[in-house]
This record gives sequence, structure tokens and C-alpha cells, in this order.
Amino acid sequence: MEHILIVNNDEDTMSLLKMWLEKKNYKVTYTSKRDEVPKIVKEYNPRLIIVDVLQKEVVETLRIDEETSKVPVLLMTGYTQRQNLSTIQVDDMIEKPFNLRLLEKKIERLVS
Amino acid sequence: MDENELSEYGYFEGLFRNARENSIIILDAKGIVQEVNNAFTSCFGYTPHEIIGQHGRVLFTEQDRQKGLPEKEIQKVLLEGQAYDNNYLVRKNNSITWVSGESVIVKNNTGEVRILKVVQDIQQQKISEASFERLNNFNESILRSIEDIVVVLNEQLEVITGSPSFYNLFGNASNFNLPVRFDHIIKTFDNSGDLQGKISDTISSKKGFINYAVEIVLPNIENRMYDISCSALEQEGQTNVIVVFHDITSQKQAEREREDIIGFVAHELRNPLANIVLCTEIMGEALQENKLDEVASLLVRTKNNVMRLNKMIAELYDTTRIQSGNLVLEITSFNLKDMIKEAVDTIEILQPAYNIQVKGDADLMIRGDRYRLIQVITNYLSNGIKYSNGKLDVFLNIKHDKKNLTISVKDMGLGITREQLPHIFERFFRAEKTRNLEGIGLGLYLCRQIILHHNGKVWAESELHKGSEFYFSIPL
Repeated sequence: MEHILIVNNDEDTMSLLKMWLEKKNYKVTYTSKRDEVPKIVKEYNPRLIIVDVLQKEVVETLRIDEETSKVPVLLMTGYTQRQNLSTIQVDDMIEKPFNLRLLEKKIERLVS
Repeated sequence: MDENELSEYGYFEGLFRNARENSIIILDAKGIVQEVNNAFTSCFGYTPHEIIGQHGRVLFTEQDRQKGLPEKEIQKVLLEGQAYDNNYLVRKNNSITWVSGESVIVKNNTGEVRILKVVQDIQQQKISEASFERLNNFNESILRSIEDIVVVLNEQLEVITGSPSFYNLFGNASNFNLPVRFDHIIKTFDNSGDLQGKISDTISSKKGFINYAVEIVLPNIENRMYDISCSALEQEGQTNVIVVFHDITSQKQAEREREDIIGFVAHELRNPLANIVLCTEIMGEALQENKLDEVASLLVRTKNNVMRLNKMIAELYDTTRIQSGNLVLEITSFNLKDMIKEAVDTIEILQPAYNIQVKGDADLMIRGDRYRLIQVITNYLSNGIKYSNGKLDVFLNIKHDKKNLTISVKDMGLGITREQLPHIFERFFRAEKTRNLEGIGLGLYLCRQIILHHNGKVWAESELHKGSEFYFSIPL
């Protein structure tokens, strides 16, 4: 079972995503605490991290550390304009509210 | 004297009689009027009969007579042979007129000394000079007082005149080689370099432009945006141009800020929307698997997210109304106890797990906007719950004296750092972005605005990890 880490501000979004992904046979951990992310990544070694744009600083932290720099990141955004995102190294992006078919495809591609 | 008899006089006599613009007065050495011409009569109103034999000082103003001006003038002519002056003279009807006068010594045919005074009425000229000066002063004061930068250039793009703000922005004229060339100045300030071209086009085509936005690059301080208009002025065969710079920097900043806020709000509104999409998706799957319990729980979650959306939209709308000064309170008298009960009930229905303890005497009538005050109390309560960090007790304290009513909500939760505490009532403030906080940071801002509209005040006390207490107080 592939492990996915979700980093978001919205408790409801995270628990619903977990519920939805678990039905697709993923193992899901989530947190809103930015500081804990590197520790969780090192401990569980997830195959994918889904990060909300409001937590984008997490990506920078992960990229610096060699141990965590290789994990694929999918960025969730709600901004219509993709502002100031050019500096963040992410593997893919998805806009809220999600097209779930698209989200599923993106996740499948990134974990494989 | 009959005009037909003029031929008997000499050439100069004819000139003396027929002159229309120049009044001529002949005085003797004592200043007594001996002769005047027709122009004098039409200008001053005296017939020759009325003035001849009188001293010339009757033509001077009282002030000038006191100064001895008529006598001084005669003495000067007698000594130097000539005198010239501009001054006021008095007509027969006591009106005064501004004249330019010249006096010379002549001799009559019997060899007596006479003073010939030629007076030109330049009153009209003086009036138009004065109005011209007034107009000039008026233009100058307009130029000085407006905040916009105004500069007039000639065809060679040399500065003819500029408002003080022009020199403030582009440096003092004394720093430049005269004549000041606008094109030399502007090239260091205008990155695009197009402004000079557009002004040159105006000079050649005589067609101006408006609403041309230019960013002016300034050393050491932030660049400024100007909305520039330019029009051609035809003056004495030359084509000058007037260029007006209107500062729109703060407008542009406000636009950018608004864009940021809308971007942020759009993002926040999409959170509950994303949750609703997830709920319906999972519900569909649960239905196929016939898991009705799961469907029921997801329906509740959907509804909560719809309520959340609705709350955000209401807060946004209220904020907009406050910003445009349109929040109007509906003041009534009502029982405080009932109002508190209604507020507490609302929260208990939404958050049944929490225990809200009301303390203090609330059995009194107060005046205020009942609906808005309930909004403040429910906001404080839901905040207390949001930050409670799992502690189920939330306290609502009521205190009042003769003057003021103070209500506070205390939680035993996360607390707020000392750095953040002064900012919690600000617009779009959220305690910490990393925490699971719903909302867009407008709730407390709105509370403060509502209480301010009641002539009251809001404040908060907090200790990190121990909890916070939010207060408001309104006059009774």
C-alpha cells in the first residue's frame, strides 16, 4: 500500500481526502503542522506529498534536505492566478475545488 | 472757438487744438492755467472757461496736493526744462484717472515763461495691465496650489514654466543647464522612454493625449506611477505643450492590494467548496456500497461546509459595507439575558460537545443592535472553541455598572503570542497559518467594527498555552 502525506490548513479537507484515498487503497497521514513534516517524511517515507499552496514553504524545506528532496510533491492551489509559484519545485499542481478524476490520475502517475 | 477759424493759427496751434488723445494744458510760471485744448475738456470735464485762471493743483488728488506735488512739478520744469511722471489726476466730477504726463518750458509771443503740459489718459491701459497681472497671479497660484505636476514646454522641449511640484520631483531648475531641456531631464526618470516621443508627437500633430501611465523611476525612494495628459497650446505662432502628471501611485497600490485580497479570499472560499466536492464523491461511493451511515455523516459534513461558505460570504459582504461606511445599526431596547441565551443556544447547537458557562447578572434592558451583538458574542464563542485545543469549558462573563456593560469570553486553549495579540482585531489576520483554522480572518475585525459603531471598545488578554479572554464593552 503506497503511503501519501497530506499537508494542509483545513482539517476537513485533509480528513475527507484521507477517506477518499483510503478507498483507493492508499495509506494516508496528514498534518497541518509545518515543522513536523520533515520528521514524518523521514519516518514514513511517503511515495507522495500533497501540499496546499498556503503551506508552500514546506516544499522548500523538503527540497533542501537530501533525505527528503526526492519525494514527489503535488501542490493544491485555490488561486486563479498562479502567482509566485515559479520558484517552488513541485512535480504537479491541482486546482481547488478538485476535479477528482484528474486528481486520481495525477496521484497514480506520481506514485508509480 | 470755431473750427473754421483754425486756419488762422499756425501749424502747432492746429495740432494743439485738434489733438484727441493728448490733453494739453498751458500754465504760467506760478502754475495758473492759461489755456487748455478740446481733448482736455473731454477727458477732465472742465470747459476752458471753468479752468482757465485756476491753479493747476485742482487737477491733483488731495494726497498729492498735501505732498506738494503740483508745486514740485513746476519747480522741476522751471529748473530742468522738463518733467515726466505717471500719476492720478482728478476730473471735474471728482473721479480719478491714471495719466502719463510730460511738461516742458515754452515761451509765448510776448516772451513770458509758460509750461506746456501734455497729459495722456492711460487709465484703460492701466486697467488691462492690472487685470493681466491678476490673471497671471491667478494662473501662478493655480500652478502653485495643485498637487499635480504641471509643466509648459516650447517646441524645443525647453521648460517655459513648471509647478513647484515639477521641480520637487525632477530636482531644482538651478541644478540644470539653462534653458532646462525636458527631454534631458525625463530620460533618467522614464524607463520606457516613450513619454518624450509622445510629447514630441503632440508638438508636431498638435493633438494631445490623456491617461498615459508612466512609471517614474526615482533614486532612493519607491517609484511612482503617473497618469499623464498633454495638450498643445498655440501661443504667438509657437506651439507650446502643457504636460500634467497626476500621481496614481496609491491608486495602483490599492488595486494591487485588492487583487491580493481577492486572490486570498478566492482561495479560502474554495476550501469548503473542495470539501463539498469530496463529500459528494465519497457519498456516491458509499451509496454504491450501501453504507448509509457513512452517507448520513457525509451529508452533515457537506452541510457544515455550506454553512462555512455562507458565513465567509456574509463576513465579506459586511466588511465591504463597513469599508464603504454603510453599516447601519438597528438600535432597539431588549433584554440582555434573552439575547445571551439566543447566542449561546446557537453555538451549542453547532458545537454540542462544548460546555459554555454563563456567569454574571444579565437581567437588564439594554439598547443596541440585537442582531449584531449576537453576531459578536457567537463570534467570540466560536473563536474560543476554535482555539480551545480540546478543552471543553468556555466561559461567558457578564459585568455591568451604571455606565458600561462588559462581556467577555474566556477559553483555556492555545493562547496567542504577545507579538500577535495587538493584531488580532485586524482585517485578514489569522493567528497562525499553520493551524487548522477556518475562516478568512474577518470575524474579529467585524466584531470590533460592530462594537465601535456602538461607541464601545474591544480588547483581549491572552497567555500562550493557557488561554485567552476576549472582551467588549458598550455604554449603557
